[in-house]
Amino acid sequence: MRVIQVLTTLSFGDAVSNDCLAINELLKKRGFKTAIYIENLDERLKNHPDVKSCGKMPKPKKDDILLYHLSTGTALNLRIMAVNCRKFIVYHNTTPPDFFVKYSGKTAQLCNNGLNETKALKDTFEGGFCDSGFNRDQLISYGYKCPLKVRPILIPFEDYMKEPDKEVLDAMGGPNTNDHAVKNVLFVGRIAPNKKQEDLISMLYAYRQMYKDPVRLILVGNPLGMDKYDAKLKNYAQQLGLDDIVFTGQISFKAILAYYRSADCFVSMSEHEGFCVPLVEAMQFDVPILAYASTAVPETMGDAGVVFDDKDPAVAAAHLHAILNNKELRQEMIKEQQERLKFFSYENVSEMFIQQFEEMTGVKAPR
Amino acid sequence: MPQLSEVKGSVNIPAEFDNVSIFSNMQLSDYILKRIEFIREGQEVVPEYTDIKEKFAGMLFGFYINHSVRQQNELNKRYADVCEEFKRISEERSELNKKIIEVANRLRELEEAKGGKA
Repeated sequence: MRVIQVLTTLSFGDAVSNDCLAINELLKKRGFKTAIYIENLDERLKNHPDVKSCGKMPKPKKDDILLYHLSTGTALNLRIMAVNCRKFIVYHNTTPPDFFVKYSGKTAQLCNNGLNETKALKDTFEGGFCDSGFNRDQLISYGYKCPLKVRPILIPFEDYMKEPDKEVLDAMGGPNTNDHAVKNVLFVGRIAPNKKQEDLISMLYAYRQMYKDPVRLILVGNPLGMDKYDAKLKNYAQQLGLDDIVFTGQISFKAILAYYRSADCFVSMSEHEGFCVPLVEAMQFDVPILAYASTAVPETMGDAGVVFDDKDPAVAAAHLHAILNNKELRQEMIKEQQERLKFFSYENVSEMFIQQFEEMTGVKAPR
Repeated sequence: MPQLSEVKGSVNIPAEFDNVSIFSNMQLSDYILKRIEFIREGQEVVPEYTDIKEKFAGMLFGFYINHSVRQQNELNKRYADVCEEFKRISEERSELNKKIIEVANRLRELEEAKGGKA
């Protein structure tokens, strides 16, 4: 019996890929025979011993367990129906297409296909693993009747211990333990309309109008395929006369670490998240979090950080000002976030996953 | 979750994101630069046959295929030229805008020095 994971794309740094690789390592450690099959194979992963192209996937045996990671529209979604073995969905959610219609017809089409295909697959799986209760509820609303378990994404935290990019760290005024002359307000997430980076820009404008202390907005994220939205964001910032916004584009992991280490506050205005790994990353780096309560965000935050539900830029700016300037509040937030972070620890989530996996499949881990 | 005192307020934002053009007023946007690069790179379309049927059809009707490929290449070239022209005009406009702002500032300084309106 083997545990096979199948997904459309495996690349460096994205949450779904990291989750898949972490599950693979975990299952191997517990004595399972594993393999990962990918539709689009990243050149850099060609030499990974467990990663192969879908075309090379041998016909699975009936007792093989297939974990299918679903996060977008792809021909693979429907091909998986025909595979004859024990199938389980690992659901990461698909962004609603409406967000993309104005900026990329291709992406909107992919998301639309993703939603329709997720619905079409409702009777395909024996069970499922969802990143959040929000994702589970969505599958239930699509007519899924199989048992669905909720467990957070498995995050390999040791990667965050690596050395950050020193140049970037220095440019941002050093680590956030320093008293920065210009405070760093960070958001990490691909440049995409559902992430609502424009609301962060509006918040910065409101902040400038309301307060005197200098702040810098750092938008870390790859604009790949979202050129129109990216250009619009830059032009919006320019029209508002905001010159202190850093659009990093695609950067190295070391540079991302440097931005996290130098951040004084992490702010999310995102309107669609199936889990939102950057929130957990910000917790890991002791960055106080201010987040708009949408989709899975309140669930990931638990009782930590400041979660608000009023999108008025002035309200967000006032919250931000309080977090940046009230040391006691910051300390309290960081303490609560550290507590919340324990829930996402590798040990806790891996134990949770193995337990759910055994319950769901009826197969005991050999080790 | 820490409690923040209830904050109310609003700030008038002078621009609406939905109304912002992807082409900036003051400087050429990244978008158009990327488009030019993309068009120039993909300017030369070469017929590609994916299987034997297409190859056979290509041999039979090669003239027509090549004719449409040439037409497409011509269109791409013209599109890239228009983008280049757009880029040049945007840069010129940006320079002129800067000069207008400089002149307006100078005029204001002169008026202030004179102690009244010119």
